[in-house]
Amino acid sequence: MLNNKDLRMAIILMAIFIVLYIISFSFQSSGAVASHTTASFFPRVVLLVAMFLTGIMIIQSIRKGPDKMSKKMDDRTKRRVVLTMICAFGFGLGCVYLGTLVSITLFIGATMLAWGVRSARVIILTALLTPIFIHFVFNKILLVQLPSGILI
Amino acid sequence: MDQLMVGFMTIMEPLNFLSVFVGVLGGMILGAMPGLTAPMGVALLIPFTYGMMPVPAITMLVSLYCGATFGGSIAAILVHAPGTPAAAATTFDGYPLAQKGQAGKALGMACISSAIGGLFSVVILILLAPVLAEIAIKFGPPEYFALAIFGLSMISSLGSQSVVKNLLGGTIGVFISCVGMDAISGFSRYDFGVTHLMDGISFIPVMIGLFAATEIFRQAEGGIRKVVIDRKISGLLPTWKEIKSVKTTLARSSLIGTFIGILPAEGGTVASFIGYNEAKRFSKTPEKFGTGCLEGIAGPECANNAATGGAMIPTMALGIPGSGTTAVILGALLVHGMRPGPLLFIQNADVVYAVFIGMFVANVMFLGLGLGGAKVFSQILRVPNYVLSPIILVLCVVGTYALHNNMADVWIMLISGVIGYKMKSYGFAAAPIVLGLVLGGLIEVSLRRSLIVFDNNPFVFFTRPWSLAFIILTVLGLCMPLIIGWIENRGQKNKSA
Repeated sequence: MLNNKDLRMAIILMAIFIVLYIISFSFQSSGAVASHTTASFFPRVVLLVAMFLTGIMIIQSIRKGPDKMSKKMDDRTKRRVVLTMICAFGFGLGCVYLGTLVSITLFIGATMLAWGVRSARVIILTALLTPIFIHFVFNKILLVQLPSGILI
Repeated sequence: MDQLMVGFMTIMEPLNFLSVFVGVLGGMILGAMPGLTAPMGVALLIPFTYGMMPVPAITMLVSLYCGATFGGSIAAILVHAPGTPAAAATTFDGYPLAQKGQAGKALGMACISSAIGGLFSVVILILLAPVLAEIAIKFGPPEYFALAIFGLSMISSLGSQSVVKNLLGGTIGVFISCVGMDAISGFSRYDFGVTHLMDGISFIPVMIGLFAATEIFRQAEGGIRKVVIDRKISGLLPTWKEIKSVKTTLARSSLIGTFIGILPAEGGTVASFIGYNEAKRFSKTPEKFGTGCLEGIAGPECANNAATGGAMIPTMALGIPGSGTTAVILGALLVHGMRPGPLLFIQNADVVYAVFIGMFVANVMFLGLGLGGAKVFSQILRVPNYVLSPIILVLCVVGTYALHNNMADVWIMLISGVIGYKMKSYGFAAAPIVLGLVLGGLIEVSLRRSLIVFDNNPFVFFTRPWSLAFIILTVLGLCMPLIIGWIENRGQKNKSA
């Protein structure tokens, strides 16, 4: 039965909505007011609608049965996507601790390597020119402050 | 008329004119690259506009919208890969014509049709938006609630093919808007003790995450991609006779595109397919469609650009976005301190009319740039995605940080990107979530105000004419996919019988 990705997704979503609905009971409210003026009123209405739609999705998935041709991602593709995500989050952390411009160079180099680019010239040029462009546009023209860490 | 003249004079100021040019140029470059869409471009450009005055900032964004909608046709014609989803129908006849060695003529026809559709829709925008705003100024909370629900219900036909997934996406978007301090009681919701979440989740990081970061993760899935263009581009101008032969198609598609654009949540993609189908249906030579006929390029290209002006009508006059891109533009208006809706025409009339004129100028400008620089824009397709994608992710991070000089926004953007990527792999589209997020606040406030003002009476939504009309339209909108499905099923059964 769980060989159906829509069903798996719908069950996960339903579980999340139920937890969020339960959490709504912990919101503060001043007791003397009508139900529609409390902070929990609208989120509960929205979550009920979401649960109803998820219920429909579950019924549709069960009716449809198991996925016939599930396209599975090969390991290399999966690794590329996961590495890109890790590089992106690492870039965020790098901005805080190292500084934006240094992190941009490292991020671009790492991402291009993760994608399988082997031309050192392309990697070095892109990794060096991008921070210069960002510094020029954001710092010099737009006067936007960029996060700075221990470096630049 | 006076305001239009003032708007014209404002746009002719060097800085504003330059912002139109930059927007159109950026849009054409972005649109020409397969995988980079108009909402992504507008979301990415917003951080660049923070330091600008509202007129050049918003004008640049709408110009990018116009430029990107046309730019999508360049890749569609030259490499059979639509630069934007709205250009998908252009591949049907654009690419075959390019294969016949007439890529220049195909690009020229796409450019002229796009400009005509765009200009027509801007004229309708200028005429209709103030009238709509004047009607909407009389709306109270029940009407706004019903209108926002109507806007949300229209997402059933947006992006993904599943009506339930679209509606669920919209509902998730509305839920995200609930995070943070409750506007009426002042109590905090779903902040989980995180101080940053007490202010709520702002649109822009989520939009950048869903539209841009998600797309980069999807590009990573596809791996390294290089585009090879082997077609010579020459003779960009179709003959006068050829243009005259498609004049009815242009008129029809302009009307279709503008009308589809006005419908909340329906955008250029739907318009272009309807434009193509109708061009084929009314053509004297429908058998030529798919083999590289000019009507097959003019129909969808005119319609998708006409949808840009159409989509701006509900966005500006009602505060209800007409498409995924206008949802992002609506977010940008809020960032620049303007509340889209009828009051915008009173409080910020100078900005509104300057933006309208800016859009008009943008359409004229991409006609010139498109006809003059098609060869140059086609070279953009050669930029490999492994160079472009990391740079776009850098812009996502830096631009999001610049919003409030806060890393929390960056984390929200990256998490939205990962969630958006995962949801896309399960068939959920980003646009319904963004529309839900944009409309969520309006829906909650107008619902609760209606109940407070009208003594907790839920029937108030059915007793006021405008509100009732929107609710009927909502029900019709929700039932339409079911009705269409039923008619199609019946047709197939009849055929097989």
